[in-house]
Amino acid sequence: MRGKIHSYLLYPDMELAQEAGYEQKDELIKDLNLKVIFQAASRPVWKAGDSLKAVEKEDFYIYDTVKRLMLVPVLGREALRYRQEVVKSALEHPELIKHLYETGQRAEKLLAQAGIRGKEQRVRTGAGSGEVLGTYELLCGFVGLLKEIKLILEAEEGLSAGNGLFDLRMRLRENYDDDFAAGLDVILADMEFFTKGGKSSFLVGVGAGMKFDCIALHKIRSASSPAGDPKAVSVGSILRHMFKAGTVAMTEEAVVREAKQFETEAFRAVLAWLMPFFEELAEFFDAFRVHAAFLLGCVQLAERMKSIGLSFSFPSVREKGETGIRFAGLYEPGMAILMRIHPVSNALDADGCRLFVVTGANQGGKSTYLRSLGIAQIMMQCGMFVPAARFEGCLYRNIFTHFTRREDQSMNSGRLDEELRRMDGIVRHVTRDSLVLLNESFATTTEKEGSVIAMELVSALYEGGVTVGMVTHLLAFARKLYAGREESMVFLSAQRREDGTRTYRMVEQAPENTSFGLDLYEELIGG
Amino acid sequence: MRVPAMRKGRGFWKFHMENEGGLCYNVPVGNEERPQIIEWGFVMEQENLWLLGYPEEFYEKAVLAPGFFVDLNMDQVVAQIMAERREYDLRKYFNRMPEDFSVTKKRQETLRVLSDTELFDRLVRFSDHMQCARGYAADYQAAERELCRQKFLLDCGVQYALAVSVLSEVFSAIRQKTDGFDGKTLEAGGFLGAFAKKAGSYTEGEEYRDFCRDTESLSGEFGNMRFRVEFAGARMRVVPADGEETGDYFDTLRALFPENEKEGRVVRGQLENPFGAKKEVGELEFFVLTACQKKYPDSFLRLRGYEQKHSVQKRRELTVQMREKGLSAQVRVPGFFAEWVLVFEQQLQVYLAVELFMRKVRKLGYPLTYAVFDREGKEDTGKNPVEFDGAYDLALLLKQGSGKTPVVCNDAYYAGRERFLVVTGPNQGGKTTFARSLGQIVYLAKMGFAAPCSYAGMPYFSGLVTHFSVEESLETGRGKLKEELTRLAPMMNEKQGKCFVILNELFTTAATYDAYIMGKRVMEHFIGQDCFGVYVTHIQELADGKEEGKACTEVQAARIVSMAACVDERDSHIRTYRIVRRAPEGVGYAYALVEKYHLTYPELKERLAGVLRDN
Repeated sequence: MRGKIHSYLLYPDMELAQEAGYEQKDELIKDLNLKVIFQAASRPVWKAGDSLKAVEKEDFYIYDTVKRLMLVPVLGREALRYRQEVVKSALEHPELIKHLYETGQRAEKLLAQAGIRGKEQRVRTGAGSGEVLGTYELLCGFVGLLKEIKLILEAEEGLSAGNGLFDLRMRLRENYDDDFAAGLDVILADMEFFTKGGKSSFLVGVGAGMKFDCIALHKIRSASSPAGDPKAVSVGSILRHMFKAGTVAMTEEAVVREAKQFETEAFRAVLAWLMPFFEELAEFFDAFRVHAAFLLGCVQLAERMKSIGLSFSFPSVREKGETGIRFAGLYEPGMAILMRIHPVSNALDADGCRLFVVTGANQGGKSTYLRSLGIAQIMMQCGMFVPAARFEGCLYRNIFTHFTRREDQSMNSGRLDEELRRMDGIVRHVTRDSLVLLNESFATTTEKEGSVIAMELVSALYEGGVTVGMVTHLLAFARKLYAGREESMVFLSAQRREDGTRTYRMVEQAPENTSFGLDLYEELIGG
Repeated sequence: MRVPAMRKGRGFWKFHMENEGGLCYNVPVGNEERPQIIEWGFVMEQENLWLLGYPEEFYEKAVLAPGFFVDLNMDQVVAQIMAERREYDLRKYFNRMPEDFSVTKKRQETLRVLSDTELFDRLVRFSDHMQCARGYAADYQAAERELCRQKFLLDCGVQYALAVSVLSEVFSAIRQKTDGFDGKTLEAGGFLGAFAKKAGSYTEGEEYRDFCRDTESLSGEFGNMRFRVEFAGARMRVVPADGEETGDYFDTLRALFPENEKEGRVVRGQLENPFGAKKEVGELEFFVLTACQKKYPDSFLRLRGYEQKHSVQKRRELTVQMREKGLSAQVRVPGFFAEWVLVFEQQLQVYLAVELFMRKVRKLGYPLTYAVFDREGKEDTGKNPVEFDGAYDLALLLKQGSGKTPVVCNDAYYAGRERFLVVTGPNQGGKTTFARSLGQIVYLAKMGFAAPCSYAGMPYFSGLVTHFSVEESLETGRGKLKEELTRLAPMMNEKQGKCFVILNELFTTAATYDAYIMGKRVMEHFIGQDCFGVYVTHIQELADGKEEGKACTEVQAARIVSMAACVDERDSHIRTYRIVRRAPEGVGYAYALVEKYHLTYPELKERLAGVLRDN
């Protein structure tokens, strides 16, 4: 029996994940400034002389797809490896991905022409002669595109085994083999009897009240079909056929009309047989379009980063049950893409750590550091490369961010209220395998109160098994935490040289009592 | 013989007897054009048998449900029972209770026989064929083209013959199960046993056998007809197929998509008739048939003969509308229907519906039992003359289904000279539900159906009287009291014989003392009539016959039993919905007021639950 035609480019065993992904997507996008990444992924890069340039306007389909898929983590180690392999392969064959994406877009266009938006609407169609014809045309279009995809994949040389693209090629060879394709083409051609004229014959019995009963479809042949009955090729043979015994002309209009209805029924019944296959194709294209768009997004993001001279690598995932993180050359890609510079990078070796507390000088790069961690984690969890020379981390089902919002930095009780409400939202959804990134939380109240709140919250989260990364000014809190520190806690500070200059690097260090605001004061106002 | 597909959802048929022995069927007409009345020609039988114990006239005027239906939520239960056979209109059969003990007893027997699934399934099949046959009979009347009309008569005959043959299978099965065909067997088979003899003589009669022979051979001829129709442009070709041509385009599709069938997808192997919605043949079909007629002249000739032999000319009463349509008073109707089969079919549905319903309730894990009446042979069971064990509210059970909280079962009995159960206790404690469940048992037991309890023993009550206060009524004070008394008066004045009486919260708007006196007198009246009853009330003094010494004697006091709704022993806010024999709980006056206005803690919780959930 013929197996199903699946796309399965992004998952080894399914088209798209059923889970909704991270709980608080909007917060993540806002706090980690992911828009820049989405934009970079959705703007095609082209060569202008020696340098690469990005088109100013993004492709919204890619933008939406990258946005959607980046925020749904791939949680199994094997599944993530599968995703990484296909992304790697995509980076090796950028032209192939572009072709596949364009083919997928044409499927989208076909659906739009048929006036079908969304899956529900597609399933609902099938009644009424006009819609039946629409479905038939859509099916023909899909079959055409499927053939094209098969050709594109077959034409690509050097596609290495062990990734989704290679698997798709094998699947098409097996589940859409030449015999099946030819058989399907014959049926689709036969069905033209309805649209372009031809012959249809039925076997009929007598039922209740002399109505037709037990109607079987005997034959259908398109008049223009060369693949059909050789006897029916010429017009002459059709005419000859007609003047056989028992042939009558349908003179009454009502009879002709009903005969047409009869043919419609035959057409519909044949189409009904094809509907499961149509569904299969429609589902394939639904997924394929998205997969191709995501892969093209990865390709374009990589090209963009390369054009600025940013390096990236594929991360490795730690075994289940292990905690901690190790990386080198980690930078914040959003800022780098925006400012077109190679930013300061950081390294850390924090095996088994679950609590990261960052303190230190203002303008020392603390927030950027926290953001780079979050972005790398998200990119890793969707199977992408990460903005680091080396990265090794765990997988988190959920990532939460709690950043102080600059736009509302007035200090009043309403703000703490708002902050706590956001925190309540996090606590409501947080699970053991979550990563919570806190940036300057509870800075909207006094240090004393803030420290108490933070202490309770952070210890509760930490004791609950949650991984917490925190940038804080609340030194009382940080020092207290440091005093009772455990092995799985790491304390970092913005590096400050003896002369007071900042390197924007984070180093392991006990929280100190000053935020080096004085440095800043001296630099800007002078002694 | 090829059987046409079953025709479902044909609507229900009402009928009544006519003087000259014709049955009139009123066919409810949807949007279709159909004659309003169809008459049947048949020979009136000498002896009439009724599966429900009474002829159709008995139920004819029972358009309205009895007064206690709504009070007992019996309307909900009956609606569910009727839903089991929604093709028929059975309402009238539930609206009247049997008046003879023997009928009730025989109904019980009949239902016991039907619990045999094989027998039951056969009777459902019989009904299906009958519905089909009646549908074709209507089509026979309505069809305009002669050719189709004749065929409808044949189709009708085929279905009728099938129905009768299934029915005789049923009777022979009953015969096999019991030894002989004596009086004992008849008793054992309930009403069904009585029909067995009749069915035997009917099917062996020469007239019926002749009809069967004709029907079978002719329907075989038409069933085997097969021809090929080809379309090409504006031309068409019709040739007899004679079974030689077997080419099927679906075979091609099947070969290409074998998974379609293996995965159990709904894929048709046949075409549907695009004109299937219309009962009559369309232009194209007629065009083809005319061509066919020339090829099978014999069969069509014999079909004409069949109609002449097996239909009768009838005169019918024309309504104004029918006259306007220009319909003739002379009409041909199928001549082969036997009246007893038609009535049997209708009344049978009540049993089928009840049996299906019982299966559903038993599946939920609740017992249904046939009542034991005190007229039956007195075996000493150690039970009181009136006793209900494990009684539960069937309507409540249907509403809650199986998943949620279980429905509580309660016991009740009347020992010696006890006549009234006075039920007191907190609101929402299950008092009304308890009273309802007893009423349901009495009704269902008298109907001859199984009742919602594990044991029911009772005298053969002549009727059921209920009086529930109408809570929705906007009237208060004197207005409401007057309304209650107006409803109560006819119940007390009529001579009802030995009734079962359910009184629920009488005179709530009157002063407590007045209500007490009035309640006492109402009870005394019913006790004087030798009735049994339940009285649900807040007035605890009513439960204690002795308290107001002058109002009643010692003897009367012994006739009143106090029962109370229980609360959880540890937390008085938790209701257990158990009603047990005991003196009323003396709660404080203030709390009683709170309860009266539904302001206790659990009630408030319940009332506010909807509001709190939104936050």
